[in-house]
Amino acid sequence: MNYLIAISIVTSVALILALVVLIRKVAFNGSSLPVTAEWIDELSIERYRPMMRLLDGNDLQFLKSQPGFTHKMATNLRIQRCQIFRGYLRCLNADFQKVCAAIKILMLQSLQDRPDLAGVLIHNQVMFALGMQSVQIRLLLFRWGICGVDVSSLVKTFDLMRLELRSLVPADMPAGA
Amino acid sequence: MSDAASALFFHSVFPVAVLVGWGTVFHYFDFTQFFQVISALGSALTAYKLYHAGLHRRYRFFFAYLIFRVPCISCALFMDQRGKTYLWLFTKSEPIVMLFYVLIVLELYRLVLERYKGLYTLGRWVMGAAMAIAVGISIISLRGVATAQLQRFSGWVVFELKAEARLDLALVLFILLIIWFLSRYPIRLNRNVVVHTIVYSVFFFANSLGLVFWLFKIRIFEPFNTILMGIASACAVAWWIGLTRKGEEVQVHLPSLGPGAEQRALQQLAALNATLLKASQK
Repeated sequence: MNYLIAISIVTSVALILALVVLIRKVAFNGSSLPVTAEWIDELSIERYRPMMRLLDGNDLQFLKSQPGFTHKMATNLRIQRCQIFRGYLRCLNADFQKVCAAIKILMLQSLQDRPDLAGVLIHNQVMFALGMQSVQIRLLLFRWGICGVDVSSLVKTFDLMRLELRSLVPADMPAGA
Repeated sequence: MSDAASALFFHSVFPVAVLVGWGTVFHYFDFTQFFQVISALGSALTAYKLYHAGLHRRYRFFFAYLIFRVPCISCALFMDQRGKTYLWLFTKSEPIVMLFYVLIVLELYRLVLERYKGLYTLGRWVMGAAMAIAVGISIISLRGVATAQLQRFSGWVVFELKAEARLDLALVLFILLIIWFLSRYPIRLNRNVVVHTIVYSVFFFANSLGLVFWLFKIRIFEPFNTILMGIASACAVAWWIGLTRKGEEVQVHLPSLGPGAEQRALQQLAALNATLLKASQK
């Protein structure tokens, strides 16, 4: 009986906290525009090109073939690369969330139903979240020299969303507007 | 738990005279009846306020529920709650109350999304998924409900009580999932919807908790059930105070703009308008 009481109390507290947090979020959101037209215009996957080859292992293979390159140096290099990679990953995630926010605004403001956008949004959000988890796990393994990290599918998902957003933005829209 | 059910339980199952430490107070003051009066008054006043403000057309199912609720509580107040007539009324009214609960939640959801046509399909998907998850969790979590103390009630009453416990829990979870979905979008809700959502969640939660504790024969401390009844009656008062005509207006707070930022904001809005225009023509 005691464990039932404990479960009930924990569940009650969790539900109340969840309700308070969500209501606060819903009641006070929408107070700022998440993206600018200028930002959409400048958005590109070019800035993520270095990230895609940062952990591919070719550099390490080359360095290992050089005389004087020690195991400790390889470990340090991997750690440094992981730190840089994480920075790129944070930027990629932030950009992806902004693209999603922009598409959500388009859906909200649309005068007609947009099942096409809804489908693209949900599918790519799920794919991106799964890809992000996979990359995070592989990043941990890379740090210990177990495997490499392929981020191309993650960048591809981001690019798909970027193109979807671009297709909704007029081509003759003045830059910097 | 419905008002009829609460009266059925909280009088017969948890007699107020045995309340630990509160006995002296409860001896002279019947909190259960007091909360029933508050619930009836709160419901009647809320219904009147909705009608007076013209909001009864907007909150149709909620308004109908309030109208239905007042005589239900009145029956609990003036009838012998151990009698057959009361039990008959309870069993007949309970399915209607449960139907109202579902319709009110769906009405609330419709009110939130009616301003956002672009979310119609997505909203339906989310509603279906949220409903499946909420019902699933509710059914699984309330398995193995004790029935020993329910012997003196007929099978139909027991079925209704179990169904309501599951329904209340499912509706709380459904509301939480829907709010979670809405929190992912830059949607501005009007004050009435926010008030309605909070009060309704608390109302279902109190009902569900009371029923679950009773069905599982959990006795944390005796006045707890009276407190839950108090919460349910406080919800009626909160509806009365919180739902207003002015509350239907959406309050949008734009971020404060610094010097020179106004022009940039106007350009930004013009560009976004152009984008939205193209999107709506697609």
